[in-house]
Amino acid sequence: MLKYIVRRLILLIPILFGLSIFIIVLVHALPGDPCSSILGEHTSPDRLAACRHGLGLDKPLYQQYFDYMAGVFRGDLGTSATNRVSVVTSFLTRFPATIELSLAAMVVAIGVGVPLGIAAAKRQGSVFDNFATVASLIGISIPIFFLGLLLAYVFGVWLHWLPTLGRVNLRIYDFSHAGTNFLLWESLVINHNIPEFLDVVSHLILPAIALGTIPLAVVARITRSAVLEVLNEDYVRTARAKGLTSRRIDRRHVLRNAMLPIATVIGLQTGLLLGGAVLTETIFSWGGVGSWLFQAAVDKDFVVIQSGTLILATIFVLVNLTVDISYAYLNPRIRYS
Amino acid sequence: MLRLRIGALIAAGAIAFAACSGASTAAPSVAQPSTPAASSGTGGSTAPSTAPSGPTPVNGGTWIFGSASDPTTLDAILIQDGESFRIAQQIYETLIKLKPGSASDLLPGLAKSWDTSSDGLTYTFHLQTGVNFSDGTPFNADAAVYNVNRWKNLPAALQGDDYYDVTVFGGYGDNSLIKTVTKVDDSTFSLTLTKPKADFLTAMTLIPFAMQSPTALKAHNADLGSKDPTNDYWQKAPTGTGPFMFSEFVPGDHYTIVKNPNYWDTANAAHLDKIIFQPIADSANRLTALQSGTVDTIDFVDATQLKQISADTSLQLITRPPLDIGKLAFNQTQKPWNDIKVREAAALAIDKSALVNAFFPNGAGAVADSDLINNMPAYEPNTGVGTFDAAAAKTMLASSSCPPPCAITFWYPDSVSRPYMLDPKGEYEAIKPMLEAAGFTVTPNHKPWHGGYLTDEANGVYPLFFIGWIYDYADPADGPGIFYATSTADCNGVKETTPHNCEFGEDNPAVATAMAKAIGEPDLATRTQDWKDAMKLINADVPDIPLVWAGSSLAATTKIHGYIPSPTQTEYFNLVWKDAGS
Repeated sequence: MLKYIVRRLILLIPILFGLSIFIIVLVHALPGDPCSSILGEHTSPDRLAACRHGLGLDKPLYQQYFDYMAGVFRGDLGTSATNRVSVVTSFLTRFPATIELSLAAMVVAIGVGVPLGIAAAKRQGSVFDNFATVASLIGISIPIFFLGLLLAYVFGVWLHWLPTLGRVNLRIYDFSHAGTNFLLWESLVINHNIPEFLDVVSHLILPAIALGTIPLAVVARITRSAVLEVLNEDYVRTARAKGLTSRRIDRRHVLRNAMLPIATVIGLQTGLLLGGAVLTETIFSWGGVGSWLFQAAVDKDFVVIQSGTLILATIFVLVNLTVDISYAYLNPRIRYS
Repeated sequence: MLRLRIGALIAAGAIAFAACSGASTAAPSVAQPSTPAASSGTGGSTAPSTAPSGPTPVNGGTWIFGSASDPTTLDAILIQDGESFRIAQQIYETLIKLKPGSASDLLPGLAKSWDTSSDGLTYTFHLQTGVNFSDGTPFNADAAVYNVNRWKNLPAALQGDDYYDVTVFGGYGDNSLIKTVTKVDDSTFSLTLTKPKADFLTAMTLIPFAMQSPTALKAHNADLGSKDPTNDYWQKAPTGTGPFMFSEFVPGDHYTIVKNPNYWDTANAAHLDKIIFQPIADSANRLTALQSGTVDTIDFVDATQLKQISADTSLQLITRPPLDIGKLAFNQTQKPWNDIKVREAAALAIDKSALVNAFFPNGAGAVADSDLINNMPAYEPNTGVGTFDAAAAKTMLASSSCPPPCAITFWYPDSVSRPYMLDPKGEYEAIKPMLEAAGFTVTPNHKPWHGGYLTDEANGVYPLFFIGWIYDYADPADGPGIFYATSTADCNGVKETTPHNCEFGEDNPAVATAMAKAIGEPDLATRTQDWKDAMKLINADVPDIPLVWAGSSLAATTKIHGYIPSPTQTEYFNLVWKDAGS
């Protein structure tokens, strides 16, 4: 197992190298640069040239790449051209917000998607099954920005049930003990403040539903098909013939064996959410990594786009590795060597 | 000029202005008396109270302000974007400040008075006494000299991160317009320029030239630059003398300032206990947040939202007087625009009223006839070309070097909405048939605003293009003085040896001479006349077609009082108060 993990981690190096080249070429292929964003209208060509020189943008692309990678190897992922804050600092500040949102979205996706998929599989061909299939299709197809705005309008503006912006009610939340930016944990464990905790939860609900809908639909569909496949296996029929209760068959034979594809899709979706919450974070003014990268793209802040993407890619690969490792525990027949 | 950058780019649109009535308010004037001989500005021992009249203000409360984004820095000398300006305006103070709501009337700030030498080179500032920074250290001549020296000799690690330092003072060290800065006594210092700069005092109202605590700057390694991990000055300890002081910053979530309990100017102490700036990128989301009570005030109201806000009795619209100019510009070095008759034909062909009515509805803009806004003292309308006249345009083009069909390329930007240019593509589509009616054959071309458009137009690549300007203060030096400045910089890679203007090709030596005279003239009345003369020369060259004067709007709940909108967004939040218990 250890060998396998080490091999996967070593494989990460060429992946990230390739990715870094791809990103820097892609980013520089876009027209424009951060200097027009920094200097605005009616700037002079000499100030533009000085700005580009200051940011090293006047060097050949390969040299910019080597300079950048040299920094990466020194642990310096660069500094934003727009706000002059180091990428690592900005990322670490904002990532907890994205983690909280992604995990909440996955709670929605797993909490609803898995039972929905199981129930649909066990009632294959029924009205409920058809309903679940159609609902899953809608869930996968619906654009996040539309769903997000719809949720915000209905539950925020119209019904006034839930907050639609930000992570907390800034009028009541006490940030004096803050530091980790994990607000669920801080409100409960550090501030010991239940109303604050409930406020954080209430702010999470709508963005989590918006972000979790697509993974929910994917998880429900995969769960349904995986469970259906297992239900038709001989060993399930045998278990049923042995007179085991339906609940026991589900727990010990069906779910355990169906869990492999479900775990795979959960892992992939979690990895995607960690870096893909751009629209949701923008709609709900959520101060996470997604809105940060969105703004960097608007400002053509090359270094932030490059380093932010690299960090997210690393996290994505590591999440997938974790999922692969979990296979061994989910299915004893799988052995890594 | 950059102040609206972030907000205006993110907000789907923006911005309205105080119709023509706002534009016809009393012409601003520099409060300080000015004569050809030595002059001085005075203001008593403390700045006069600027509290608005009306109901008695209530003290206390938390105000949540829905901004468009986080600040990008709060090291004052490096500030260049609107959101940073807004917060810095509350925690820092400048030597001289703008009268609330004015773009040019000067009031004493941290300097209670000042003298100007007869040659316009030396300024002696007499400082307020008994002032402390919010970290408890004293503000005195030593602190002021430290700050001015920091502008002049900006640390190498910060050079290039600033905008206004270079824009106002031209460079660093020996290249700076600041020649010397000298402490006279504990509450007096003098600053000598290398050459006269008539708008120097007005430029000193810009928040990048605010006074910061030398102790805090040093303690937090502000001079080591952004790449040094020990420099946490602006995120952890921006320290000024203002009515508010830093409390906390959670990037992407909020920035909080609290009342400075030891503020020196007790007559202008803050009413509110706390102000929280919550970034909400999307303009529709900002309005939703205001309507739902999540925030108390929002900025960068979209022009399409104005009617909705006006109709909501729980909300109020706060409109800034106009100080932005949108225009269609030519590059006179490129054919066919090197022929003034072609430029005049284009100017005659455009129905500005139709354009403004269509794209700046609800009073969001007014028809412009000058690069200067009509509330500036030096305003000089461009009457030479005449107003919209399609027949005259056709005749003019027929007699030009490019008779119909005259083929032209029209550049407009993508991915941007500026206060003076809410819908560039739409505006192009409206102007195209007007130009075609005069005999032009129009080929459109476009690029993303930050995807090459700005750099190309600065390099003189475009023959005909949309551009505009957001004034920092109401002085022509901050407008035409920048647009038509000449240098020996290479235009679009072409080696240049003589001074020229890349952007517009406005290389008329008479214009350069007239502008230089105006920029260097210390006497206000003479300077105003000089600028009028310069504007006449500029207008005669028809370097552009001024289209619209625009401003911007905020919206607030009716529980908010005392907000005085400023055309330059120099807005003082110590004057703002909320209804009790709200």
